[in-house]
Amino acid sequence: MTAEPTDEALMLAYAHGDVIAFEQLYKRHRGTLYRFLLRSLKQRADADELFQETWSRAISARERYRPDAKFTTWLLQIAHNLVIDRFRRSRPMASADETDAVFRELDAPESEQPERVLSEFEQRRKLQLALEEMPEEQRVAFLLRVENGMGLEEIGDITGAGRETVKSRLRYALARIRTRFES
Amino acid sequence: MSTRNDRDLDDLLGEDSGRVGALYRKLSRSDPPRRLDRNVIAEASRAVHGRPRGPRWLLGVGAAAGVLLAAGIAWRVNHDMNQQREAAPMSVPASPAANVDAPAPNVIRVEPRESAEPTPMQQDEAKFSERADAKPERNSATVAKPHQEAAAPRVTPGAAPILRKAEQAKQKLDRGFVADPAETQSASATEDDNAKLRERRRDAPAATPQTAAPMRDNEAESSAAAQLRADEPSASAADSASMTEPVGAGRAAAKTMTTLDAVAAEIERIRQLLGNGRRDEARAALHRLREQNPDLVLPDDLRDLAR
Repeated sequence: MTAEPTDEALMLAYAHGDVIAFEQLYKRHRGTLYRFLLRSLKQRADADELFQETWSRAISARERYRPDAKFTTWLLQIAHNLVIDRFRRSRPMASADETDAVFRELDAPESEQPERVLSEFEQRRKLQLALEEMPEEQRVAFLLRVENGMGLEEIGDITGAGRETVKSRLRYALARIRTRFES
Repeated sequence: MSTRNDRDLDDLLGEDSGRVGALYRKLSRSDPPRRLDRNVIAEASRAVHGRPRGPRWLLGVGAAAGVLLAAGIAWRVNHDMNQQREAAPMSVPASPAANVDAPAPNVIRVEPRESAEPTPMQQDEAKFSERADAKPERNSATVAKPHQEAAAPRVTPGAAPILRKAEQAKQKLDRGFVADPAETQSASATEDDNAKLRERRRDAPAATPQTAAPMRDNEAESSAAAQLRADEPSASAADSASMTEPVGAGRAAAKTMTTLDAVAAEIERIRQLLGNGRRDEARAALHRLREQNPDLVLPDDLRDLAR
């Protein structure tokens, strides 16, 4: 039983003119990339646009691809840069005061945050709302983790942030989700 | 830092992203639309091969359509060339195997001119053609020709029936028939008949000088009458000669033409006598003419005179 080729092998094959290899690669990562973009941008039109742009850039850069980096990391880097550019054009970044307010809430003792038992439907709904309200950097980091299964180092490589910055962003993202659940 | 947050983070960074990850995976799983898939694949193919990677069967259909189009054009051109070749003017005669039903496209057809009635020129030509068909030998033709030319312009309306009768007699002569014993004489004619004929001929020249004097006063004397007087002796000699020898086509034709001219001239002279009030002389001349030409059909203006 032959093992399926890795993402890196398929990308190299495509770089040498194998379009079938690219189709395989595309089938593997089309869903996760699209959902990352859709939930990062929250607008389907924006997600469709950046989805095609991401793959277009990957196709153009096929000859520059080096297998020392994971393909998914490389692909998500392209997507992330597009998302950030779109964020910077359309939405101002969260101010420092807003961020501090979030942290203070998150730092409240557990006794002051009663937990309520929520139905699964309500949990999904609140998570969705939390993602939509989350700052872009936190959301991207959170999505790269839960949607694409990236680790701290990989998220750092994709976003260009350090390991600790990534951890901090993830904490903040989780705090917002909890706040939404408890509201 | 809150331990709770650290626990959540550790949970998130754990296998399958912990509880939050499981909850996240229960959210709607949106996939890209098919059009995005086609666009991306097409772009990937173009980048490598330089052309869109569409359905492969379209290439075969397009190639087949091109071949059919080329074949159709070639057939059409060949068909047009064949038609042009058939319609081209034929420089060689048509073969016997040619389709007789198909008319030669470039042959000029001259439709016969249909007119209500033949023109005078055509009538003359018809008459001349008839005479030419029954043309005598050269010697007689040369003799007859002046008479023909002289007679044609002088044909009066009243003389037309007479001329027709004489023409019929001439044609019969040419075919070897004896139309009128008074006009022609066969080789087997008896001496009695010859004598009678000579007598009639003698009277004719005699009558002519009698009327010649009054006619001298008449400026309408026809040249045919003058010619008759001049040619009478020779005509008589020809007649006598014709009595003893077989009727030849040339001699008979010449004698017939001379007789026709003489008859026409005599009729004209009779008319002139009537016009001058010399009725008795006209009647006598008419009587002699009828004796000489029993089959003569008188014109309408002379029939009363003959009664």
